[in-house]
Amino acid sequence: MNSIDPVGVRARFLAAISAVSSDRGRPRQLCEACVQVLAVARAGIAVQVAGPGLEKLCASDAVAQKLEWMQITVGEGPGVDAVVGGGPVLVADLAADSRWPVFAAEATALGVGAMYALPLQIGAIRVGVLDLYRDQASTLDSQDFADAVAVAEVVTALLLSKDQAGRIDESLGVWWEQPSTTREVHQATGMIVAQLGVSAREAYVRLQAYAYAHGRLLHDVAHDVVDRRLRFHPDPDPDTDPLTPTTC
Amino acid sequence: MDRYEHLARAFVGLADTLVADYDVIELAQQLVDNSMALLPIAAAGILLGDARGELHVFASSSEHTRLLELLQIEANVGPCLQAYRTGQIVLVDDLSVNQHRWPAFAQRAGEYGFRALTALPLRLREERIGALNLFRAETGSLPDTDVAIGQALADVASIGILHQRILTRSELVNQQLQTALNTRLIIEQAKGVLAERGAIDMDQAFTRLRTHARSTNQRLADLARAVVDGADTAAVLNPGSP
Repeated sequence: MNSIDPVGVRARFLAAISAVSSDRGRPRQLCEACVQVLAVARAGIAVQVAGPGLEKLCASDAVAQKLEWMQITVGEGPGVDAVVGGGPVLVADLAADSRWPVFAAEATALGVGAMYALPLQIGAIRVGVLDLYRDQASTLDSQDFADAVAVAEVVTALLLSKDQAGRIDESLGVWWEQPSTTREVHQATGMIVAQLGVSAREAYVRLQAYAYAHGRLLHDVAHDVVDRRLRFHPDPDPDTDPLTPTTC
Repeated sequence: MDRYEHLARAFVGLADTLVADYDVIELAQQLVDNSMALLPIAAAGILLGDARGELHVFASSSEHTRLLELLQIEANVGPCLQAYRTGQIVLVDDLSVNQHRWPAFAQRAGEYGFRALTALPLRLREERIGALNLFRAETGSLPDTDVAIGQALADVASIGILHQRILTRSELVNQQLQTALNTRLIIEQAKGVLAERGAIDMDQAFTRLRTHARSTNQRLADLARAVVDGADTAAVLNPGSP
């Protein structure tokens, strides 16, 4: 197996988001960009919300919209399984698969042949799921799978950045092309969970926001946190900047 | 317990993980532990390949940063990468010779006292999923028997990691590996929580996590997720206290 260059697809995805017309709001742009950059016919994104579970965020077209709505309403499907199982669920032939009888019947009726569900997650942080659809039953080959995983990672990072609306501006520069998976980024996330007494999601978002604000790469800042040169402190005064890490 | 008995137990132990509550991290860790116990080596590490064909450290004989960094350097350009890509065993009897092949890795390995390396492919039929690294402190090759034992352990572990006895498509492999790799991230997040809260290093944090998982009969991955999600960690950090 040869190393498949991940940077190219990330850059193309970011460019595709920027290029799509912005009058329908950013979430839909994410789905449309997925369709442009990945070898799929349509895409939908659902996000994790407390209480009801999954909620539709966006879809690339009306059919994808119906599929996302249906999966959530019926409560079954490859996307649901991907979130619960913590791993991709790739279905080459939806009609031939008996795992989701209700969903599969409806989806097949809408013309779906294959479906690939990629969880939007970073370790224990569950953001949602990216559902990709093809009209023909087909296997997702390794190159396409690698591209889909890379795009899912960028989508995850972008969705998390929304938690700090206003702190991370909307221009999608090269900073977003970095892969988020280095061991120290995750260790640092855990340390910040303990330092701030917040959720892993919140901890990661703080780390991300700090790195972005200082124009530094995530793994660089994470290195400082793990080496205990940088600590994040809970801020007692809600009026001041909540990003109050201190250097040691 | 003589070597044969230990070997038999190692295989039974690995087989057990296939039928019991499936815990991929524990399985990989056992493979590493078995290698350390059965073979004349100084350190061991398992690397798994992701969707892009890049290797990531999945389990190692120590969580000390130095070993993990060394493994990751090797993952980017080193003997294990070759073993992974070719599906062939790579024997390096003397890391100081032919340094131009993997200069950064060979130098760092030497600094840590590792003089030789055996890289065994993790594979199942046509699928190549990663590599098992065995480091030695002296130059020279592992005896053939030891290499064979190492490869046999690796083969059993590959079945366990993929959790499928009959592979029909690469898709399943991709799915399983991606899931396993995300599970590893949860472990890293949990290590961070424990290291910070207990003022301990990452190696100690991992040991506490693993020990607690075993004593409470839960999967490492489940415990790690609970820790990251906010579960009380007092019992994990202070084993033996009421």
